[in-house]
Amino acid sequence: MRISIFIISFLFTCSSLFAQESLKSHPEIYGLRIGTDLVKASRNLWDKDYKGFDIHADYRYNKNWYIAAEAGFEERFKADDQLSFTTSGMFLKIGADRNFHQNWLDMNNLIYVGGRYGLSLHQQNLHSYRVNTGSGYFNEELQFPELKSDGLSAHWLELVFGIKAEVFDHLFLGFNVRFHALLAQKQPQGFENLYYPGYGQKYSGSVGAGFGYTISYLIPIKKKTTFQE
Amino acid sequence: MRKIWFLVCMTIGVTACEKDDICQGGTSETPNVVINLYDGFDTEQFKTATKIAMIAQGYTDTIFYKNTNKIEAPLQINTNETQWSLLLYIPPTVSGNDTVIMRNDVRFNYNTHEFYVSKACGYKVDFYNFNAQLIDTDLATPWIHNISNLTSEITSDDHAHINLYY
Repeated sequence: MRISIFIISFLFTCSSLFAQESLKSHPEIYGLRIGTDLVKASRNLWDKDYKGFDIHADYRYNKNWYIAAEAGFEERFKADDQLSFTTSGMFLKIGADRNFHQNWLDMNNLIYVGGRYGLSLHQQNLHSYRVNTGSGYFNEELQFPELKSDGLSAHWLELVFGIKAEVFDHLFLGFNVRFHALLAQKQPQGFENLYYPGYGQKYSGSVGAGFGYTISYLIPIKKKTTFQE
Repeated sequence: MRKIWFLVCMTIGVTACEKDDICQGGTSETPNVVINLYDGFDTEQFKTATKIAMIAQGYTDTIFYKNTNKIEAPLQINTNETQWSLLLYIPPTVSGNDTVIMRNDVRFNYNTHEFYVSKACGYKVDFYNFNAQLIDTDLATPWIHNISNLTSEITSDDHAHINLYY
């Protein structure tokens, strides 16, 4: 919350520098914005257990509403105390964002709240697991089944809070926080989904949270002129 | 707007932060064979052993029990048979000048059923068609009169699975 207040005030400060006239026509740009998540992209470099990319796009529908979609691929290896596994697959999210930021003049920033429906199609490979025997007398608890489960899926809803700031012409940097709740899923036989592409790790509850830094480019399609006092 | 933020954060905070990295143990653990020790002559009476040592066939580690009328024997999970040597120590006050060690072997036969419990607990094995029998050997120093199977399924450590009379 403090961060968003800071960013709001920052945007207003910047805006005030350009606020010279009280009444002027400013075109609002409508277009298709395409971008990617910088956290996911950079993670390919610093986390050897992760591969993935993500493309997101939004299209301005009217003054405040944007139609939004995301798609991508993720592969995640994880070794816990009791088991190790790899999950890989693709995901798709569709939804909408509503901009709550009143832009000054010809600025084009967003402070938005959005909703998404998310879908993942993935497979999970259980590399090893430990049988919990308590005593460990026979020292045979660790098993290596390489159990592969295909055709897994998950459906969830996401709530997104974020900002997108135009740092150069048509180039936006953004930050978002997302909360997701699992609706339904297809589990591996005799096991469970522990990671979902596009959703992240599974916790004991069916809700989770995440965040992302985004970079995106706006392809202008049309301009609408509005008057601002 | 700020109220919604707060509510959402609170809700997520309360529901999302369940810790699932800790296994609670108990029923999520693979059970051992629980053996109650009874008096071989007065079979209604528990009989406390001063010291019992257990060694599984093919292994060298020893499990000791002292002053107890209940012992537990782990079962191998990758095979359908485990054999344990049960050694009873009889202290000098009872036997004379030296500690006397007496031995019997018990064989357990069973089928295993392995299943996933949770991310934190891993897997568990339950045992079915369980059967215990004393091995007829020409051991010089047997101490067990008889054993009786109480159940053919071993899914928890809560109750005894075998009564041992000596």
